[in-house]
Amino acid sequence: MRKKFSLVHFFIVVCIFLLVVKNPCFVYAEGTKEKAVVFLLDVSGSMKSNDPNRYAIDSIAQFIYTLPSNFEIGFVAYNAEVCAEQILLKNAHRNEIMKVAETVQYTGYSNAGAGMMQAVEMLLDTSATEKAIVLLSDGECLMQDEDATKISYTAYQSATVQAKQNGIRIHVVGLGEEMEDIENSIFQAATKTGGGVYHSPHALDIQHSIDAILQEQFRIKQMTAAVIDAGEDAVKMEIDIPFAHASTVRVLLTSSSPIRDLTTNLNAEGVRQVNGERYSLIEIDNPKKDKMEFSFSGVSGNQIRMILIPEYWVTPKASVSYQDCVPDVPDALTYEREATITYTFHDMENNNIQLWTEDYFAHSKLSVEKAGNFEEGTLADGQLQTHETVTEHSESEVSFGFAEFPANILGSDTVKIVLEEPPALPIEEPDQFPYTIYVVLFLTIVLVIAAIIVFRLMKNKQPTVIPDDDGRPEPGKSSYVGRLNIYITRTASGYDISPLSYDLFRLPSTRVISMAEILESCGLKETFAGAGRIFISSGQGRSVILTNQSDCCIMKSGEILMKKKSYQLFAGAKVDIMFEDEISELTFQYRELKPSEMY
Amino acid sequence: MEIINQTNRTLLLDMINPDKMDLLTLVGDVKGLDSLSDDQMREINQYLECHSYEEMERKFEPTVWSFFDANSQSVRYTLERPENIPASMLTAINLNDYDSFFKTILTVMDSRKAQGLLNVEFHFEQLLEMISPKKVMEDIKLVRKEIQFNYKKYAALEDGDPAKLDLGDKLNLLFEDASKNYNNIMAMLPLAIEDIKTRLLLGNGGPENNGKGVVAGVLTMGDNGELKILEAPKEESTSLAVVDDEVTAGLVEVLADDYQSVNESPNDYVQNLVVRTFCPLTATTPTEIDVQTEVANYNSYLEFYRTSKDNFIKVVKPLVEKLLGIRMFFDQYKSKTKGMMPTLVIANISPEILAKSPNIPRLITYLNTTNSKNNFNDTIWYAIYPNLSWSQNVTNKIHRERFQGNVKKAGTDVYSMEALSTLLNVFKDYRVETFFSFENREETTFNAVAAEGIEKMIERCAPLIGKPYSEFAIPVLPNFTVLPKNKSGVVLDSRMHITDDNGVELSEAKEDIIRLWIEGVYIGGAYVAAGFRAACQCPEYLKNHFNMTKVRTDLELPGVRFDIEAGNHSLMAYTTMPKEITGFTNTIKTQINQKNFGWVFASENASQDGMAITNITVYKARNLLYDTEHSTYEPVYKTQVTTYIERILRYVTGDFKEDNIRDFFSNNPKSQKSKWLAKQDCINAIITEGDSLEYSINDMNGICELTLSFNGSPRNLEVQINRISGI
Repeated sequence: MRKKFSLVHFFIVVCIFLLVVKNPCFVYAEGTKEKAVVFLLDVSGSMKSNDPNRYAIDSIAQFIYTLPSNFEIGFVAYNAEVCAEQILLKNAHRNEIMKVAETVQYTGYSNAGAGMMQAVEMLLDTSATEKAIVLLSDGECLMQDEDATKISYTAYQSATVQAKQNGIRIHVVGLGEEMEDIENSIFQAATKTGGGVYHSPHALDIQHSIDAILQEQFRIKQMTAAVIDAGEDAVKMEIDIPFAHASTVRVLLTSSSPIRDLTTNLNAEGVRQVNGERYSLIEIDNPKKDKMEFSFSGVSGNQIRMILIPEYWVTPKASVSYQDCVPDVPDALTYEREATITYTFHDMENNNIQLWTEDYFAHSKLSVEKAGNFEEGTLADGQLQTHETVTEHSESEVSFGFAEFPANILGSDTVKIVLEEPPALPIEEPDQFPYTIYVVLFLTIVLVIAAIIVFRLMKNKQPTVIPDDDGRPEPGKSSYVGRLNIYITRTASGYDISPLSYDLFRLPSTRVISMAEILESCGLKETFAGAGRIFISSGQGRSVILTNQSDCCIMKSGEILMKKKSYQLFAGAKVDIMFEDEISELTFQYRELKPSEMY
Repeated sequence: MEIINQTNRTLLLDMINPDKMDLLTLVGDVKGLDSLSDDQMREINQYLECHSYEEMERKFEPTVWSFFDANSQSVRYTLERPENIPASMLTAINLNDYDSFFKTILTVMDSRKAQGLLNVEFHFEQLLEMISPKKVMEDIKLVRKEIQFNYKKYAALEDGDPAKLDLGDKLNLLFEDASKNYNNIMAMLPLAIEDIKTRLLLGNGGPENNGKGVVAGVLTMGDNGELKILEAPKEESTSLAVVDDEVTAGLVEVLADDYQSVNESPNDYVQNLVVRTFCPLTATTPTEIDVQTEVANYNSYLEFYRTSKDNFIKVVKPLVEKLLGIRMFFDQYKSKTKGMMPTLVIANISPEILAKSPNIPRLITYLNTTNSKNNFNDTIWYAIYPNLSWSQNVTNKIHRERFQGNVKKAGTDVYSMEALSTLLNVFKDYRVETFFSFENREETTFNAVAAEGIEKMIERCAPLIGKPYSEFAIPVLPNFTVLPKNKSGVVLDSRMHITDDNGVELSEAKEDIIRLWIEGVYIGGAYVAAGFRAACQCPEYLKNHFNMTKVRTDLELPGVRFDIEAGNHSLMAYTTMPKEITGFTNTIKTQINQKNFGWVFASENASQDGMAITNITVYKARNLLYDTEHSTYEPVYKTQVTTYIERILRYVTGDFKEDNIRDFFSNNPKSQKSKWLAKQDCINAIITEGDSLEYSINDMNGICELTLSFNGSPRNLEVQINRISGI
């Protein structure tokens, strides 16, 4: 038994690398997680003094247009009561929200309770997995009398409780002096529901608060592409968009002063431009180029910040390769199997497109979670690899965390992995094993031969067959130093063919080349009858020798060249050939090249 | 210039008149031929070679064909003779100085040049009125005045008087001119329009008379001393009219006869119109006017005139632009003494067709004949490739056209980059330098370059850079604006309508003003650049322009080494084109200087010796050969000097015989190099101070390597030595 095993062991060691096989594993994708946000805006009269330039409205636009496509967004504005609202809308209809937001006027009391109730109710109706409210207010509840204020406050409190119970997080942006105290009742909603608290002393700072919410609370990945000192003159610039195959790239320009005359030049499947007073957003669907040209003008002394927000719809795929080796343990029954799991990420629409292969994503961090175990990995060439020792058949679901990934990821984030158990160590007779190998090898050879035959049959044109006795002249002894400029003046198919050139100087001096070979190497599909028997060889004195063994009519300098004769062609010589089919014609000119031109 | 007597023969790659001979047809079948016979060359020159604009006009007779389309009830125009329409139904309109549109454009150019005003300052509208019927009538008034004056003298002389015969000759010429107006109905339209206006409104179009019939009268005092204008009795005025009436009656008869004989289908209305136009009579027999019919006629004539003129201009504009280009090519050569006058060989074929594979052997055969011989009379040195397509990048897509915008149509006269590269590949073998300019549109004008710089041009030339033929490609920018798009509106006249009291007046409503748009007229920069460079080849031209300086000009040397960028050369020799804009900003100029790209014209404020230069100057003169060492594009003169030296060397050394090559470069005062060195201080020296010309012979491979050093920047030239066998 011991001896038998050592023979087996020997063969295994020899063939160990042949056993590395790659098995595609079963993959399935889940739907994207839907998220919902309601922007709750205080439009009470006090806002008039805190935000006379209506920067808050611009910030809504900045907020809603920056959020990825899987967000449903609603809008509620309140003063003494809810004065404007827009139900939760999908990505394509976000402009409807702006239409409503732009109509609101800062007037009346502040009934934050009614506003919050409405916002929470709106979110209760949706099936989104993550829900949040962003409240922008410049003060606490304030109604016409104390009772009404108290009712409003109570409503606010109960709405907050309801929000917490339903997993709704409330982020509060306080504007102005009155909101300096982050302990006040309005901010309580944030602390109770685990939301963020932000304070903007001035209306101009709202932009920064919104920016912070997007990054800290919603984890929106963005890249600052440029910060430009604006001037009255138009600024023209080009930025890189290193997001190949991104579903959407949003380019957001923000400034504290108006952005004017924005024009863009880019290649993409679709483009949407939204211009506000102090921001502009360009939403690019499937950008086709990695560059984009801008021109715009601003106001002197102000800076314009340009942010890129990439968004990918992703389907992860995994493939597993195994490396089996014989274990050191003497009585082991199976191989020691090490699985290398390679995760790749593909465009959801077109699974053939592998994403993130660009340098920009190299070493980007991803977390992989499998059966409660977290592992962190980095991307290399768009791939993430993990290793695992396999002892038995297992099926597991792997999910990815993109928290530190520099792009916004939508689509599926899980993939199913099937790991096959290691094969049992062979116990067959040693002489049976090569037989299997031979069968495999034989089948492989048969397949290769069949593939070659099919490939040859599928080719339109037969390769130029050079018969042994085709009258090919003796090769010359001199080097080739020129080029043929070829002009197909007439073809059997009637197609026009662009001028061609063939570098003779690249040929060794011993090579005799036929016109058919020259035309074929120029990529011509047409057949020129008799071209296979017209030969060019190198001649003395920087010339070439033309030998005609065909029935083509060849003319040069006003005479017809005789068949089976050779003629010396010097620089500038022009030759006309009428081929045997009496339709096709070409003219070529032999150009001598100077040493510096032979490259 | 005993060896090479011209270095400025230029080939124009464009079509002027498809009915005339073209290069391909004249070259004919070239199977088995290396070159063309002298007879063929003479024939090609006879048909295609032009030494002046007038010669071009005579040889090519640029023509527009017009015919009436009964289906659409309109006049149709075409540049190609329509083959399916009988000759009798076709009218050929020659585009010469008599054509009102062409004349208008020429006048615009001349007056802008004379006034030296920028585009923004110039009142194009006033000159464009020349197309309107009113101006046509004013021109006719001059002719008719002369006819009347001469006829009066003619009638007074006795038969047989030699002076009468002289006057007869003069009248024949005048009638010939006049008949051009009445031998086709279209030319009669403006006459008819003005005629109706004259009769209904006394010609002034004012509302004063409300269209009522006007009767001449005399001012008298009534019985009570009140002022009255009484209708003058007809018979009382005869004493004055009778003397003239005999003359005018004769003239009326002659005009009527002439109209009848010239026109194939005459009619009374037009005959009367012709007579009234060319011989206005005092109405001795007043006729009643059918006001309603006349007003309707007037309005329909005016509309018809507008539509047909509009159609005409749309068709003729590309041709006019070509003609202006050719005119400006020749116009650049302004020299008191004529020497090496630029010559233009017009291929008269679209370069797209010329660049097709079946046709290239013909072009090669032609160039073999002109450029591969030691006879340099017919050598082609330059080519002009105008109207290179200005393809546009996709910008933001517009899904719905909210406002009527420009119709972006693929111009039939726009030629492709592919055809250009194919032709350049051929031209490089014959060392023909090709000036090309982009199609005529707002994006390629001075305004656009001043606003946007030259980045877009460089981007579009990218396919031609880094190629073996790059050295022979010269991108010219910007194009010249003759008539800016935004100032090309022409008011023809206003519609007429009948007032409530049955009077007639011209409408003042905005919608009743009949207006047409010419949509801009431009001249391709390539024509001007080639013309200017061709002019600079002439030593007499250089002498004329540099006679104020102390620099000598050698009359035996061409201007191949003349570097327009050097020193203040561009201020001494400049184009004949008037300035267009106030200039480029320093940023744009820095950009141009950094890139050193292309043949760039400048419309800058400059003065030389206290004299302000009001013309366009040459700012850069570079081809597309990129010198990576100096990160710059090469000046054009280097290529031509290299070509010139190679040709002279071939000629002088008997096709590169080794001994002769050594003699060529020897220090013997009679050697060619010594001769050139002796003229180093001339403005047109082949080897100027700072240049050097060295050679080395590689015995191994029989190559003579020439190193031409232009101010330290070397350029290599290799020639295959022709070794005598046995040595």
